[in-house]
Amino acid sequence: MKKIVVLALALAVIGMPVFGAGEAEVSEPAAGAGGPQYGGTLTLGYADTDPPTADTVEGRWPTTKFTSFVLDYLLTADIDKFGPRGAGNHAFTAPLSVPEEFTRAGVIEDWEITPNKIIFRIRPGVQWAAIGKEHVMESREFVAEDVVFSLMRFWTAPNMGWLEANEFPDWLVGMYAEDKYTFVVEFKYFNAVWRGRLGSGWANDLYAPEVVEAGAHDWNNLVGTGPFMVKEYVQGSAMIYEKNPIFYDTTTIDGIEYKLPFVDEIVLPIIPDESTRIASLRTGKIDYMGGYLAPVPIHYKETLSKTPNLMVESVKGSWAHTLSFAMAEDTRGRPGTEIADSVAVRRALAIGTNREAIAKATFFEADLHSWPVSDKNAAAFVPMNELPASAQELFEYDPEKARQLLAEAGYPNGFKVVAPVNAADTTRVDMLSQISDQWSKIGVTVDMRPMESAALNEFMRREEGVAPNFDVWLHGEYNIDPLITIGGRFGFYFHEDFLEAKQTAAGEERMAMLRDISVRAIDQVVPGIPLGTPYQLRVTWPWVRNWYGETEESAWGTAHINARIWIDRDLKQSLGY
Amino acid sequence: MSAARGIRRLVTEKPLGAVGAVITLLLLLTGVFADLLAPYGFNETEVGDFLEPPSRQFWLGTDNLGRDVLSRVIYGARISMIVGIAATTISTLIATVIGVLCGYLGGKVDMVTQRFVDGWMCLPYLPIIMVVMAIVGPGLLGLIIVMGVSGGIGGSRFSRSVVINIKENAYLEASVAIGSSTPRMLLRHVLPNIMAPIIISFSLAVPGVILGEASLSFLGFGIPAPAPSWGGMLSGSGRRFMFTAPWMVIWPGLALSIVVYGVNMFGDAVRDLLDPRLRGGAGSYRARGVRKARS
Repeated sequence: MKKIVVLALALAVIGMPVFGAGEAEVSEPAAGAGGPQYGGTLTLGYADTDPPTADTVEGRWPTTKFTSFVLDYLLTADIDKFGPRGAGNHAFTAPLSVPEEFTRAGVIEDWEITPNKIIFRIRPGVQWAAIGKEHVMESREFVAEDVVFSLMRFWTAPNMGWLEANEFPDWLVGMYAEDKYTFVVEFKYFNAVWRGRLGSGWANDLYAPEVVEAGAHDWNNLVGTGPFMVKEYVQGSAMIYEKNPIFYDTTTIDGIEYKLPFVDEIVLPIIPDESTRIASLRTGKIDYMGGYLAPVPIHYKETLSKTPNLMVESVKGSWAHTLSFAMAEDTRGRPGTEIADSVAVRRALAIGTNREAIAKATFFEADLHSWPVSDKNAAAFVPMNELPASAQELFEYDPEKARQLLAEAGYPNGFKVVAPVNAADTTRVDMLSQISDQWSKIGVTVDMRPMESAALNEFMRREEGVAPNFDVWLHGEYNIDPLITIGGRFGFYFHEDFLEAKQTAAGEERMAMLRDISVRAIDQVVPGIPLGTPYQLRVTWPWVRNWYGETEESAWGTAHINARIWIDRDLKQSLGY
Repeated sequence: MSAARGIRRLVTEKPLGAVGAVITLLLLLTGVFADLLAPYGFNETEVGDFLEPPSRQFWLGTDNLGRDVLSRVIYGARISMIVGIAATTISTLIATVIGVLCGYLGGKVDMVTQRFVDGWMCLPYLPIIMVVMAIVGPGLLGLIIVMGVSGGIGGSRFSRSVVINIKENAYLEASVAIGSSTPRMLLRHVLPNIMAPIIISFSLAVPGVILGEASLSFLGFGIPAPAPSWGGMLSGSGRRFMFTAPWMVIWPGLALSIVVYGVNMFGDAVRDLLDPRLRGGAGSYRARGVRKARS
């Protein structure tokens, strides 16, 4: 009888946390049942440098790649419902590109938008997982006051002015906790970028007040509500996370609901050299790579395809390359150079650029398109054949016509353009070399200035009222939210129209306005030459299960995606790894 | 020693040096006549297919931008030649001026200057040049000046020692006795008598400078793209495609190795032939005196 009582008590104690979390029905099937398995380590090729500080206020976006395993956002991507594992409406591959309709609540239950406020209802029972971090805080419930503290900290930090760059400085009225589980943001008018500024963008990750008090810069102090907890950070070696046992979220596979995360540990080995990272992948030390956080250039296809069992597929990348002109940006008070400020010259240079040759030489495979970028993620994208003829002409290589246009613009003998480039960026150095050769045929000399990155940043720093030192530069353009892409690219030239679009609440109407801005900008402004979106590789070992290529759920965040991955350890062992 | 006699001695006594001389001469001629020798421009893209292996049309193949590798290697010789000669000339001039002044004047001038030289020689050569190049930016002129100046300061130790060696010679004392001024002493008596070792050090320094340029270009601090420096060709896209298109790195690497080897051999031979201490001595392994002594 005594044994039965002890056994009953033991079972009750073991069962308490599960019942306490209200998840008694959630399954944790035994390994080897053919379905998802718990346990194991997932090793990711995300880290090419050490993480900066653990505080996003100081480290900005390079920090979020590492903190997002631990810290949650108010919103996250609904990959289960709309991703490739669900209805397939969206790929969830490009940064900051998740449309509002494919977003779901994370640590909140839902949200409601009115003309002058957004009300977020916090999910009761979500815990700050301070297991092993008792020197910082005790595990406790996540409440609305925490959100107010964290977001206000970002909005008021002196060095976070970039949050408001190109935004409405007077948009926000205030934010407060209406009660324990209700967080309210009031504003003067609707701003379509609210998700990026409050919900799932950079500097939206949620820090506990206790963490900030203990020192948010220290990785040992980081406590969050996300699926993982920081286990160990070894400088120059690896960042290691362990499973958060009191994580609130679940996923449903084949009708069975599973508690997340599946793996016990996530390891991010810090490998600066690309070829070493690829070698680690090829030898099974890294479980999968692909996407913008762990890119695998297409030229590794042959090498990787020869590795037995490694699954290699070619997918379109999430960023495009663009050659931009250093032209005037009136809203910032920045003048351009004489060459760059001439729309006739910009048209001629666009026509004198052989985009197909550049794409073939540099990327082997690339999607050539106009603007903003071609992926279906960018809802404001206008296909080439829908552009006016005068805009389509810009994308057809014709050196004779380009030369003629330059002569008409007053440059019959051509001119010299200064083009800085990061010397370490082989791809862009090659692209610029090719452009240099192509433009030499229309009489334009490219003065290439490959520089070390710090020197390049200094050289390219543009100041108010001063013409830049350079005429053109190459840069990447992420296939992100159209508001950000189009705002960043064309907001200077159609400022009022862009403000109007941002304040338009109706999604379709807003997209139509953005498309209109795009077309006018491509045709009339010609601020640069889009050079295509390269294809990349997505490489996975077969033991990585339940990953469908998603790489974006919030700003550089992938924790919920990786929490859904499980490792088929039997298969891994049988393959000799 | 007349030029003809010098060449004869080089060929007969130093055959390896003669081979080095031919390589050096080829480097010079290739550099000077690169425009005539190269079938295509060094940045002429799409002259062939991308990454085309060596063929009858493209002897050394094409690179990832469809540029002719042979043409780029030929133009690369010009850069190596210019940097090798110009930077070494600057460094030799600086080394000679500092060395002669320090060695001849001695005293506080020598003490202060040589402590600065000591300090300079303590600094790691490549990182210092990389830092300076990062500040001034990559470019031929900057590279030549930076390598020339940095090499010259360290090199002054050698010319100083040579001057100290000859300083006590009777002809210098005689010159002082008849009232020669210091500038006259330096220009008429000191400099001519240290020219042989200076020329030797020049010839030995050239390959080092060529390698230094290649290293800096390999690291992205040397000759900016699209100029075809051999070191630059080994890095960047060369490294990226080295497994799929090995010809992109093999040829510039081979050219670099051969030229450095050849100029080194030539420099060694010049040293052996010009250095009076080695003339007819151990350095001249085919010298008559040695053979006689052995027999």
